[in-house]
This record gives sequence, structure tokens and C-alpha cells, in this order.
Amino acid sequence: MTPEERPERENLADTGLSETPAERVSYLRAGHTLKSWLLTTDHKRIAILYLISITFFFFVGGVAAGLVRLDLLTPAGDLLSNEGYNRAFTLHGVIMVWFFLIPSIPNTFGNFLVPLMIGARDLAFPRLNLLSWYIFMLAGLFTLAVLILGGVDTGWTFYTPLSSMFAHGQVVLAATAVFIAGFSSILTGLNVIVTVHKLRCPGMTWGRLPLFVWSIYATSLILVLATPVLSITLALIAAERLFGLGVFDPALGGDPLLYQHLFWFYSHPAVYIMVLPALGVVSELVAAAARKPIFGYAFVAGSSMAIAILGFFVWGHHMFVSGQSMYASAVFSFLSIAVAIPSGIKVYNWTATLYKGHISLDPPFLFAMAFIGLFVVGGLTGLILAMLAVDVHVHDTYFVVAHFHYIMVGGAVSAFFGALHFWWPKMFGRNYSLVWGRLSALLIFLGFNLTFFPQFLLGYLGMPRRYHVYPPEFQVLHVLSSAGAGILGLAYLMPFAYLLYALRYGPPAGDNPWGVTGLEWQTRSPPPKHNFETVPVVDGPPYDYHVEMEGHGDG
Amino acid sequence: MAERVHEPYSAPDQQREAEMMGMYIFLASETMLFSGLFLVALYLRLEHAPDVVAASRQMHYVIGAANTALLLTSSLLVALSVEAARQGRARPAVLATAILLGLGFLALKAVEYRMEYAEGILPLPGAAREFPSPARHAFMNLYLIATTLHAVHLSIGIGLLATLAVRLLRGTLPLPERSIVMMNAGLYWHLVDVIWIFLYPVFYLAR
Amino acid sequence: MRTASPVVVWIMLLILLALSVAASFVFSGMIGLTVALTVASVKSALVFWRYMHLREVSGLLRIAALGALFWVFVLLAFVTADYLTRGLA
Repeated sequence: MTPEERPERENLADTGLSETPAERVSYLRAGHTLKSWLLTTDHKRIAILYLISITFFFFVGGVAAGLVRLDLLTPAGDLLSNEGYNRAFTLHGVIMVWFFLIPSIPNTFGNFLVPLMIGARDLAFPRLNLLSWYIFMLAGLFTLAVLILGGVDTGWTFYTPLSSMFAHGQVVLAATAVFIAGFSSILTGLNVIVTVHKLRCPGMTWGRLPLFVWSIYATSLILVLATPVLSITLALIAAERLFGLGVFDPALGGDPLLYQHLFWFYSHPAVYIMVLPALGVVSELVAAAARKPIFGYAFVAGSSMAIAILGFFVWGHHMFVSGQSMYASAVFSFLSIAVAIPSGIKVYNWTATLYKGHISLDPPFLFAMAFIGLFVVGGLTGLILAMLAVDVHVHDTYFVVAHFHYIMVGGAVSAFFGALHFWWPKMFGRNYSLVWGRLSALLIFLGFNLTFFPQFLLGYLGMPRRYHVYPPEFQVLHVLSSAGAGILGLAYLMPFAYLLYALRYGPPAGDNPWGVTGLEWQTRSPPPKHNFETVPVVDGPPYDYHVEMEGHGDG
Repeated sequence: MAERVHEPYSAPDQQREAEMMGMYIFLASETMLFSGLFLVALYLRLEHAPDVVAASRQMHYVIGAANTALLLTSSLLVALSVEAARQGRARPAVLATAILLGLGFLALKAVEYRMEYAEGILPLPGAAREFPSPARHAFMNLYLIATTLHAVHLSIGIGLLATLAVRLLRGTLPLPERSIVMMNAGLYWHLVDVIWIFLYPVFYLAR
Repeated sequence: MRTASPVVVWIMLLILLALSVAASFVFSGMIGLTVALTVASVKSALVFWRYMHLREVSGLLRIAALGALFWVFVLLAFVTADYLTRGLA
């Protein structure tokens, strides 16, 4: 279906409806009480619960970032004390990593869409899904307790011996919060893996799965295998602080580097937990925007698995300058370069998909484009950092900070917003204003670049990370970055306005407002509680657009 | 023999396989959890081999062996009761004996801890301890952490088995339709056993 | 092994336990460690194969049960490589 053939969007007579016919029989109206929401086992409702929670944490983490960027406006550390600044960036990191990025796409869109995309009625273990959310909220409560009781200053990386022996602040409480959140992650991953193996509808073979499902599946493998190592590592930190049972203490023959090995064995795969779902979203958005099958489906699916697997072999690149053996560092450096290859394959395949596609410049596509550009910058700078010799100079500088924010914010958060703008009509049955959507995509892109590009320069020039006192010659770049952060913050607020407005006043979306393929678009918007009236049967490939594939197209 | 299939499944064997797969994946995560401790043990062995050997020689390997035997026997009993369940027979007494053996393990461990405490080698906070070398202190730290974590998992397993034993006694677990519940609990118990199978030589037999 | 009842497996496990204890007095150092861990692996294999139903389940479930071992190996191997090569550079 070309953009011209798409269903009529702006049916003005329908705006202001308090309830559309589809909504009346949807999962949103199946039960009106608070209890029906808080005790739901419907994956779609649980997705909404997560959406609300992670939005809240995004705000809290954003406020922490705001404090950091405010303090960095001036070379002197005049807004926060040294300890206060440490606590601010630690809180920003802990909340953004574990309470926003890791659950964001898997637990909202993964939860909502994976059963729909494979033609199932729910995830494999619906009650476990609800338990995952409650565990997540419990962890969040612990984090808020940390916040109220003064915070923690070790950085989100909790390095020893600072965390285990010397730090003041709520290290054990923070470690407990993250430990609890880890359970939520593991159970989610378990649920998705079993779901994808066991609940595909007839005809939905592995080779017909939407690429989003492949990416969430790969992510779930990492969730299950890597997170427990973080759990035991945090438990060891707590054991040392609470009971004096130290194993990392050099005075006892321990090695702080042992902690770093254990921590990064989890935390490097963790960054792939944060980015793989985003990569899956972008595959969906690109195919939808171009109305063409994804070029090289098998390679894109395989690259998700390759990233998940290879991502476990590269963690030592965080430890190049910490005392790790040079030979181990060299091996990790090589493997880190290798893990960039599957990501590159995805980018090439998306580009090839767009070639000769009927592209429509809707907000989801704009976010996908932003993702691709910013992800490439982040990825290339990651390759730069993987070079052992270069990393020696830029390790622990703002170059690293800029690199991972390009991937995490420019990449993962852009993909999250792209997913939000693409599937919002499906989740809530209402269309939103495309004009405002395009505007916020643009502002987010501009604000992001103003915030983080100067940080590459700062890092290259030697500005260390986690410092709030710096030489005056860096101030211009810092001011630019903080200004960008202000714009970015405001830009992130915009979608709240028009998306929430659409919930009540948007025109009804209909089953398939974008005119795209996928089982989720074959059912009503919003979907009924049990997803499908009859179990779908699949008999064709995914992204089955009738396009110039056969060579008979209209060019 | 009609097994009740609940949402979102459409066939009994699909549901059963999914439930078993779920437990296996959970056990995989438990394996990764303990792998961190085994890494620390390996590190100590690599970097401080003489201290590790000396510390291991002080361990009460007979008590450890007895504990291992207790767990192996309890695994046998669990396996027997699971097999019976799959044939439709509830054997709560067998299960209860397995639970008793598990409790016996914990009791014996407590006795062992008290002995180590008296010898001054149990690094409890505030305890009087005397370690000939720092690395031996680290070894005992790891020993305490690892065995405590194992004991926590064992206790969870005891709780699981006890719940099932009660259900068997009350007849509220339809067998063999829902024997998967027994099988899954058995899987968890056996993994706790396997973890101890590795913990024992790492700490007690490094002589 | 086809008809090895749980009791037979249990007897084998106890024999292996005794074996490992005895071996710890004979072998020392890295050889002793290897022997001890090998015996432990055989015992675990018995438990997985016979008690934990790996004998009867599909290949997918076998991978789900044992796949994590590969990743444990990765963790141990790479960190060992670091410690063993530190003195060299």
C-alpha cells in the first residue's frame, strides 16, 4: 500500500470522541477498576504499567542530568559540592541504565508487541510477567530510598575499593536496588525466550518472525545469562561492606580488577540489552516507512544473534588502562572491533531497504533516520575507543561519555520515541498530530547534537569525565553542551502534550493506520484483550509488500 | 487424564514443554549466579595457590563429604517421588524424607560453622579470628559467602518441596496431569545439589 | 545406562564421592584440581542426564539446560588468560 492508498487519517468529524467502537471492546476497557490494572496478567496492560514507570524514572534521571549540566556551566564546582556532584552523576547513571534503558523497549514494546507479532494470546508466563513489574517497582522504591537518604557517590560502576571499603553513602542500598531490578530482568528474558520458542502461531516459522521479535529474543538471551553475574557481584560488594567479607581487598590478597572483570562481564552485554531492541525497532520502522521488505532479512536477524553472542567476549575493553595484561587487552581490542561488524551489516541493510522505497516522512521514520545517523557516529567512535592505543589517551574522558550517549540517547532513546510514535495508534486506537510529531523529532535531534557533539571535542582535548571542576578554556564547549541539554529536555516534553491529547481528542486510528504488514496490524486498534478473534495462520514472508520485488513494479 | 490447558496455550504438551523450558532457563541463570563465586575461587587458586591449599587442609572434609552424601541421597528420593508422580502416584513420605535430609544438611552445616568458629577460622563479623596469611582469610571469606548462598538456595528448595508435600498429602495436586510441577521442583532441587557437587571439591578437596 | 534406575545412579554418585575424597590425598596442585573437577563433572552429568530428565527431553531443552556452561567457561577462561599473562608483558 503506497502512502497515497493509506486510509484517510484526519477524519475531522471523529475527533473529540470519548470512546471509539474499537476501544469499547479493547483491552483498555476490559475491567475498569484499579485492581484490574494492578492484578492484570494481560501483557498489554503490563506494558502500559511499565511505560508509566519508566517514564517516571526517565524524569528523575533527567533531573539528575540537569543538575550535572547546570554545575558544568562554570569551571568552578559552585553548584554542588564534590560529593554532591558525584552523587548526581551516579544517580543519573544508575537510574538511566537500570530503570529506564534496560526495561524501556523490551518491557514496554516487547511486552505489548511480541505476543501480537507471533500470533499468540499472551506471553508464556503471564503471572510471572506481572511479578516482573512488581519486582521492578520494588527496586524502584529502594532507589528512591537511596535518593532520599542522600544518594551514592561511586558512579554507576560501583568500582572497588571505593564502593567496598571507602565510600560514604548508600552503597548497599543502591546495590540492593539494582540486585532486585536484576530479578525483574531475568524473569522478563525467561518469559520472552519461552514465548518465542513455544507460542508462535501456525505458519510462523523462525524465518517469518518480524525482526523486532528476533531482536527482543536476542536481548532476552543476554538478560538471562549476564544479569546473574551482576547480581553476585553486587552481593559480594554488600558482603564486604556489611560483614567485612572481602574478596576484592588487596590487603587480603584480593584484586580490585577481579571486581571489574565480574562487573563488565555483565555490563558490556548490558549495553547490548539497551541497544538490540532499538535496532529491532528501527528495522520495523525502516521497512514500514519504505514499504519494502528489509534487505537481507536473514543477515539482519543473524546480526542480532551475533551481537548478542559476540557482546559477551569484549568486556575487557573497559579495562585497557586498569592493569589488565597487555595480551588480554589486545585480544579484547580485536574482538571489540569484530562486534562492530554485525551492527554495520544492519546499517547497510537498512540503507539498501530504503533504496527505491516509497518513503513517507512520518515521525516514526524521522526518529529512525535520527537513530541511524547518531548510531553510526556512536558506533564509529566506539571503534575508535576499541583501538587499544587510542583508548589509552581518551579513556575516562568526555570522549567516552559522548560515545555512549550517542548510542544510548541518540540511538536507543530515539528508537524508543520512534516506537512510541509508530505503535501509539495501535496501543491506544487514536491518531496523533503528525506535524507536532515531526517537530519534536527535529528538536530532539538538534538538541541532542548540541548537547553531545561538543563532548567529543572536550574529551579529545583532555576533559576528564566525572569532574565538575575544569580549566576555563573548556567552558565554551561546556556551555554549548548544557544549552543543548536544555533544548533536549524541553523537546522530550513535547510528545507528552500531543500524544496524551490524542488519547482523548485524536481521530480513531483503525486497524492499520500506516498501511503496513505485521500481525499486530491485523487486529483492532486497540487490540481486544485476547489479541485475536481467531488464531492467525501465517503463510507468507514478513514485510510482504507487493513492490518491485518481481521486477514488474511501477518503478 | 485430560490436562487442563490454560491461556495462552493450546495443547497440553506445548504447555508442559514451555513450563519445563522456563525452569531450565531459570536454572541457567542460577548457574551464572554461582559462576561469579567460582571465578573468585579460581582467581584465588591461580594467584595464591599455597594459601588455598593450606586453608583447604583445615576444612572438615569428612563433614563436607557427609553433607554431600546427604544431598545426593535427597536427590535420589526426589527423583523417585517425581517418577512416581509421573505415573500418577503421590508419595509424600518419600518427599518428606528428602526434606528431612535437606534439613539435616543445614543442621550439619551449622555444626560445622560452630566448629570453625571455635577454631577461629570462621570470618563472622566480630568473631575472633586468626589467619596465618591474608589470602587464607580471603579463602574463608569466599567459603562463608558461597556456602551461605548455597544454604539460602537449599532453604528455598526445602520450602518448594514442603509446599508440594502438603499438596500431595491433601490431594490438591492432580497427578499425573500436573506432574510437571513436581518435575520442576525436582529440577530446582537437583541443581542445588549440582552446585554443592562443585562447591565441595573447590573448598574441601584443594589439598 | 538405559535402564539405570535412580538407585543405581545414586550408588554411582556415592562411589564417585568417595573416589574424589581419596584422590585429593593422592593428587595435588593443578592435577589434583583437574581430577576433582572432572569427578564433579561426571557426577553432575549423571544428575543432569538421569535425575533432571535430559535423557528424555528434546534437544532444545538440553541446550536450555546446559547452554549456560559455555558462558561460564568464557568468563573463567578470559579472566584466567588475563591473570596468566600479566607477568609476561
